[in-house]
Amino acid sequence: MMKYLFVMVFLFFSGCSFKPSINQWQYKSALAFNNYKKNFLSYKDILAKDDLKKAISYAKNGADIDMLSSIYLGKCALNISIGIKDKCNEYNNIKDLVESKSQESYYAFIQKDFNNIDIENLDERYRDFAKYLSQKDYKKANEEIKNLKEPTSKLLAISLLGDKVSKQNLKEAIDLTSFYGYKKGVIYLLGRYKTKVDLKTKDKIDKKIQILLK
Amino acid sequence: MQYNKMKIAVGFFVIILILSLGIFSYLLLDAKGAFKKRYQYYFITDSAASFSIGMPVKFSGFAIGSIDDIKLLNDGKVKISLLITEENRKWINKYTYLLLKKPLIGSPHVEVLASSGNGYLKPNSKLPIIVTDDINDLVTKFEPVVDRLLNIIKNIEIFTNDMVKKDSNINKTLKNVEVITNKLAKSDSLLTSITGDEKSTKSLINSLNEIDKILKDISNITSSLHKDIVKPTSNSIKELHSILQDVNNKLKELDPAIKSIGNSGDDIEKLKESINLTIEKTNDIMEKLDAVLEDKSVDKVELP
Repeated sequence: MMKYLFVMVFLFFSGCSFKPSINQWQYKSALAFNNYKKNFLSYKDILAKDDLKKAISYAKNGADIDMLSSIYLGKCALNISIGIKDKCNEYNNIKDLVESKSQESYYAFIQKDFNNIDIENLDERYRDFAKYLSQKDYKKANEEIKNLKEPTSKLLAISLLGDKVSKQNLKEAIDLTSFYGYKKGVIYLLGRYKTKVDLKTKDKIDKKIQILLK
Repeated sequence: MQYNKMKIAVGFFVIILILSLGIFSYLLLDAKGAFKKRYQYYFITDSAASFSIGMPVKFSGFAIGSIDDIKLLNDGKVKISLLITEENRKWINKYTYLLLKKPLIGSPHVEVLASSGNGYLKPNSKLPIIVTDDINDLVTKFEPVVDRLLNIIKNIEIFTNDMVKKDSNINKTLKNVEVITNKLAKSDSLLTSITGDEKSTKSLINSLNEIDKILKDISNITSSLHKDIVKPTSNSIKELHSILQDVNNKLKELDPAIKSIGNSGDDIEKLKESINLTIEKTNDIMEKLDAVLEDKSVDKVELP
């Protein structure tokens, strides 16, 4: 009995002491974008579309162009990470309004515009990878991919590396994205992987892709 | 030590309770007049019916005492004792009369008829009593009315018996009336006596016959009209009426449909708005739930 009373009192105090922050739009926008990433890679397109819409809507509510451009850039990067060619038009439309060097560097990175990449302003995860990629040192670039822990980062790096990605990295990336349940990422990686295997294995992979797509 | 203190406290409580109850009882009984001095008087009556111990003795509607005892005496009469309170003793004097009232509505009681200022009557003195019975008084008043009613009924009986007899005056009168009316019916002498001239009577009769003929002709014409013209026209009008009624019914049926069509656009808009609102609210709740379930709060977009 005392236990229930204690819980009730605790909940009461917790409820009274909790006050939602004023910049809820910011949290909601970031949360919606994170959900978009997950749902997009998990092949939950309807949910992903809705999440992206929400993320954009909340960013617009806060009149935060910086956040809005991040979302557009993130969407573009995600497309690129699964092999979809994307010139980031939405970002390009508003990039003049944004004074973010990190975003500019990121944009140049995902577009492989190495002349305009400011390595210092690039996300720390990709700095070395971008450096080796721009130097066309694919072996070291592959080494750097191994250090990436996030499945989305790994996917993006593999996509940017193109045909030069190692078979091992692809295999590891398939396991990682599969572990996260990112079906779309898995299918993309399998598609890349089958180009590096013999014909018999290729058939098996094709069959696997067919099953996954059903 | 503690126990002894408790015992003393309980003892005090009990004593105070008993004292309080005693004082309360005393005050209650005193207020009811239990401790007031009373004086006894009596009266003799033929019957104890309608009397009972405790029956109030009233003066001007106020209870000034009550019947205390009822005893049957050796001579068959009844001695009834009553007690009067001290402050109302003044109403009991040598001119005092008691009156037993048995009203139609309410309980019987003893009424004191007296005036003050005539000294006191000694206790245990006899008082005279008068018994009034409202029901019996009423019956007595109704007795002559009932007698008259009985006389009226007797007269009606005589009248009806007389009518039954053939040679009664009433029957003779009725027969005479019958003869007169028959005569009037068979001859036109009455009409002559009214007009005062036989010719006028005949011309009047002829006129009436002519009118009869005219009426027959009119009847014939209207019957032919009925067959040739009126009937088909009437049928057409009936059909037209039924058609119009049918059209009217159909228009009535169409009216709500048209109205509903007119309103449906607005209804759909309202419904759409309601659905949108519900979806918005549901989304809001879902987002809140998402935010709660999310293990970390981020306020920046994490690029892939």
